[in-house]
Amino acid sequence: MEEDQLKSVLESLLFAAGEPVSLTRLAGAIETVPRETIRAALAAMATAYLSENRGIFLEEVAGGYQLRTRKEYAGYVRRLLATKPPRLSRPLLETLAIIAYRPNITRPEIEELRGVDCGGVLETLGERGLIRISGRKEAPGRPALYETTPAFLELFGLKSLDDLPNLEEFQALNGTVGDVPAAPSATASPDPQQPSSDPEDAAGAEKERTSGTE
Amino acid sequence: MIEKPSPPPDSVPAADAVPRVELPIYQGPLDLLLHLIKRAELDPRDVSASIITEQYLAHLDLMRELNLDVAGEYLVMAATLLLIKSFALLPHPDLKDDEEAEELKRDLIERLLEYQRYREAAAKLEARDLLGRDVFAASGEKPPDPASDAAPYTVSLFDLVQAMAAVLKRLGDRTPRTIALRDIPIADCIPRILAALVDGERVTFASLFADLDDRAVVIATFIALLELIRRGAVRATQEVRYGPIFLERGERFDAPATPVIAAAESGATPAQPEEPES
Repeated sequence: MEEDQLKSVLESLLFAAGEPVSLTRLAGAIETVPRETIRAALAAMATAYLSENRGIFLEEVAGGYQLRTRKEYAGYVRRLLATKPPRLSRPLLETLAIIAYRPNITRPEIEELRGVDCGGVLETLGERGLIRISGRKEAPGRPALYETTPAFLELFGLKSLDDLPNLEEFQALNGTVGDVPAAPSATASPDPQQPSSDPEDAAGAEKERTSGTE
Repeated sequence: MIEKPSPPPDSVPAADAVPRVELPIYQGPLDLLLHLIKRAELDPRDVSASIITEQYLAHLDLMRELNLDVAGEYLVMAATLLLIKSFALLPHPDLKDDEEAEELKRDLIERLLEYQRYREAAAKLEARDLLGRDVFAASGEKPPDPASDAAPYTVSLFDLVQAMAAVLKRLGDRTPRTIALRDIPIADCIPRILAALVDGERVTFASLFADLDDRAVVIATFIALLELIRRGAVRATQEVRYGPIFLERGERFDAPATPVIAAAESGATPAQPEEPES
């Protein structure tokens, strides 16, 4: 298959899927092209989307690839779809952050960290498909263990949990929270710039971190 | 802009005579403490500073005055702060008590720092480009699978008759008053139905009758449709119960048509036995 054709095929697959599609699933659908060729084509596509100022861009997210609309046009899209942005209150966000950074955590442990009851928050997060029960702790009462779902990664545009900024960098030792330029690479940069540098440039470094999710 | 006389936001629920307000600002005692510490331009390590304890207790009083539910966690924290303070103030000859107080303080500071980290992490998450807020993906909806019976409901005869009643009701006004006896062979209606069903596509039940004005033709077409469904040449489905009925080619669409059964014809509609293929 010619490279241009491969890109077109990939574009059609990602468009039709909507959800993030892993390299494995893409390769499975195309059958005749090796994974590495597909990976390279995706990287080239990601760069092209940005350089051509397209309305969509290609992002690596939740262990797969996903076509997304550009942030600049969010207002138009929201008006078209007549949707409201997802509502994430502070309790929801804090609890999500705790579970994301400490997968397989129990409710009492979360409540110890936050200092408040988290029953309702956990229920809401579960209903919204952002967390799930990963197992039971071998302890009295066998409390449920919680972890985040791929939908969580998708919502926040994360490749994997390894993509989260390093928690230690938040430590803000002098108490001046927010002044520390914590992990600018992962959070501060606008997302459109991420895919361009992904599979190709950082192949070596990224591979180790993301291979577990593919 | 149209001004709507909308009720005021439910900040004060009218259910009780005494207003009960949820305080949304502080997510628990740790959150409140961090707020007080930051406001005093202090560090979490200074949590035992007496000004923090005083302000914390004052805040609790305020909450109680406002008839807020002071959750137990707030009181536990207040007790901890007072205990630390009492150790600092009172002479304590026992060395063991001293160590205990130090440990209490260390634990509290550690909890505050840890909570602060997660609070910051939450803020960083919130600042990302959120799907559905800043970026959007294709909806990725799969077309209904015609092969699976699970998704669409199979339509019962009752559903079809009901849909038919709706068609006839629409015709009600248009039917001419003069009644002429006419022969409308059902077999003649069959090709029309089959022609309307393009391979792989669905048409609605209503659209089949949309351009028919003649009540007799409508009824003949309906009976022809029933016959085709019986043969398996046409499939009728619904996506939701009581939703629109869709028609599509059935498994035996291409099967050679058997002559229209005489029994079906001798009934309601005037029709003559005729060759089915025309």
